[in-house]
Amino acid sequence: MIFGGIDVLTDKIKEVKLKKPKAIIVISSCPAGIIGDDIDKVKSLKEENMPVITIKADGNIAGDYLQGMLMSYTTLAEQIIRKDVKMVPSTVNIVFEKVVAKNTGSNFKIIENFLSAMDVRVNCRFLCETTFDRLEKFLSAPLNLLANDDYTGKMLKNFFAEKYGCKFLDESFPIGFDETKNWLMSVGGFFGKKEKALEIILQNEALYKKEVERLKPSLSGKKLMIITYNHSLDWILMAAMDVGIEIVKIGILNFSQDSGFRTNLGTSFNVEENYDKEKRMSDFAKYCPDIVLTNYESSVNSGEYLSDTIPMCPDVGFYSGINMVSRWSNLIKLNLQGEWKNDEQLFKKYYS
Amino acid sequence: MTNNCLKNITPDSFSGLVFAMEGIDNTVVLINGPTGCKFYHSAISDSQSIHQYEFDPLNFPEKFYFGQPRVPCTWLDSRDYVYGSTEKLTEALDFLCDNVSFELLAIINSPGASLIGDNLKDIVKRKIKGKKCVVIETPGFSQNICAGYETASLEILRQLCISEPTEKKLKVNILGLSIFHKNYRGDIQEIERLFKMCGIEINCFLCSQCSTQSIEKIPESSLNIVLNPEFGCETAHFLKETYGTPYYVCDGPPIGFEATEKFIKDVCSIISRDYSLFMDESGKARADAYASISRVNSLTGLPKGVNFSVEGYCSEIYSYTSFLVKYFGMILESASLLDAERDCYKNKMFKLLNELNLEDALNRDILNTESELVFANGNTIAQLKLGGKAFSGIEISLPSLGYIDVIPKTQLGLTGALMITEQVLNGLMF
Repeated sequence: MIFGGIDVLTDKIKEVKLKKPKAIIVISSCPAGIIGDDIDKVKSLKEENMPVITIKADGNIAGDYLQGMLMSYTTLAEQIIRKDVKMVPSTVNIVFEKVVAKNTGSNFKIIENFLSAMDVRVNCRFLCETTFDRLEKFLSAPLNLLANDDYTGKMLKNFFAEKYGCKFLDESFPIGFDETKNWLMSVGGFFGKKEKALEIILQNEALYKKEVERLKPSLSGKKLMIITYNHSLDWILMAAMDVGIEIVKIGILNFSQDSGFRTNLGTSFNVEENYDKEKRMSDFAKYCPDIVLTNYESSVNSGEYLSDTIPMCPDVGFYSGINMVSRWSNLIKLNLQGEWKNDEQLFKKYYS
Repeated sequence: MTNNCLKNITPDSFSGLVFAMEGIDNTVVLINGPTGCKFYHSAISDSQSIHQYEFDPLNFPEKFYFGQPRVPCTWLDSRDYVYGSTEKLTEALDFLCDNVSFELLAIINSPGASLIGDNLKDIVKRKIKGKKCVVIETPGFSQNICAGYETASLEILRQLCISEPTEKKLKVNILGLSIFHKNYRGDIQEIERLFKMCGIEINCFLCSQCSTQSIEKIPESSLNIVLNPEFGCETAHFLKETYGTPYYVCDGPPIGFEATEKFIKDVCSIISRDYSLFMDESGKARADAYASISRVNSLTGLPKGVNFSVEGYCSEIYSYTSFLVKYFGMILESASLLDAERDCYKNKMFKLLNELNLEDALNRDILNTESELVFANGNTIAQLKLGGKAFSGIEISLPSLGYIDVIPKTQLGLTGALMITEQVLNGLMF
């Protein structure tokens, strides 16, 4: 901290080089930034086919967590992606999958299966379980698929479009039946595989409709209230309405990653944005929902309605919404909250 | 093999400081630093000692807590590194005093904040009246978690200004156990259970589920016991120098029947306690283990000759190796030292490995191991799984793969010996 850390950094890089990595990425922490270490000095230690890439985060001096993520994404892109690559037909890149979500792997498999059915291959997953080589050849894919179109996703999309002229599909990863249908038609249309896309849609449409008919008797007429951070809910609203559920209220909580409730359903919903969670009780009394959907299940007044959680990162594909609705049908039939819920007072007694 | 680079996520001194303080009941640990320094510490503290029953971030919307129940921070940003953290720190202290109930306030500088040069002690002295406070201005940077933990232990003892007792009581203190030790709750339960059999009263598990009152009574105890040498020897030495309290250092953490028997016998001998009840219990536990091992052994010859790897500090490698090699007849293939700097047990570990002709194990990389059983943290086990290795992983330290222990587990003592026996046998069968 007194004499600077560049010498130590240089020694470490020389040691790491012995392992012959594809690249060495150096990120500076708070102390390194405060004492003024210029990590760019170690770029000269690069070798042919082994670049040394520096990301001057300086801990949080360069910004907060999300700013750091964006800095990493854009810096790595700028320092690794090659512009002199040939286009490889029928390939796509996937941009901005959420690496910390539990369903990232399963969502990717669903998308990959759709793509495979249309003879389309994934080149680079930016940046999730990918390789240096695939990132280097990012520009070989004629089409890019945005996995999540929240604030960070939009920033990345703009970055690639402006810097590299990358073409993106308008739709991000599809959630729910309608979105998946539209997404498949768009991808199919781009690659000249519309017929194949339609085939996939028709196969699944039959299954979806069968499921809707199965669920209608138990759910038709039920009232649904949603309090959530998610700003795009068509996937669950569509499925709920398909089985005859009435949407009585949607409360959208303030969320740093997104803004503005969005719907393509053409239905006028009772939506309240910047929802104050303290209004929950009065709204429950007013709207008398049978089903309450939240991101974090609350134990308030449990028993008067069925409460369930809505995932921050929903599953992709045709059945995202209907699977949730099916779950409610089972829970309503069971009519059980789980006796463990009665022990909340004991928790407060022994854990406070 | 690189020597100077970390191959895994290992906590540093700063984490040791935070977790030591978080191990004291009714304490608020305030990080003077950015939110990034707070997040993982709060998450680990909350998962090791549950403080909330749901993860709704709206539950802890108070300033400085950022949606988590533990470890508030002053959310320093780039501007504060230039102009200082006094303003935010003062605001945080005012908020905590007015809104949060605590017996002890610990303020710890993050590594970046420590370079700003704010006089934390001065600020705290002006703002905090009538409350116990501990201030740590230098977090130790790249020193390891053990160093940070011991620093915190020593600072608490020094800054609480505990006076010399008028008399010593027949109690003991346990040193060197942190809430970052994966099974610390189960470890505490087991030690308490074994000591109760011998009529030994425990005053305090320092920095591990203890109260400030019990810390203030530490000098009254007649013996300090160091469970994990890397985490407690310096503190024990300090207490001997300052209060004249003798200390006993475990022969590595008491893992396995023999180590536990030695531990209990030694402690009982020092403070003149009867351990016959414990020996009965140990006999029964040995019999239970024997029955299960014998059944597997009769069909397969195992666990004799099974290759295993272990990752940990010197004392942990010593303890696990001793038990697994001598008791089960297994062979140590790779011993991965988490941190070679902390050498308070290195010679003992080397001596054991030489005696067993297993010194080569230190030269084999655990990530290239072909062992059937791997005793390590979740990250190492995950790395091996991703590498397609065929083995059974047994977690012995954090970070964990995420298994939720509803019943506190332990690998110490008699219960721990049976637990390891269960894990070894099932690890070989499935």
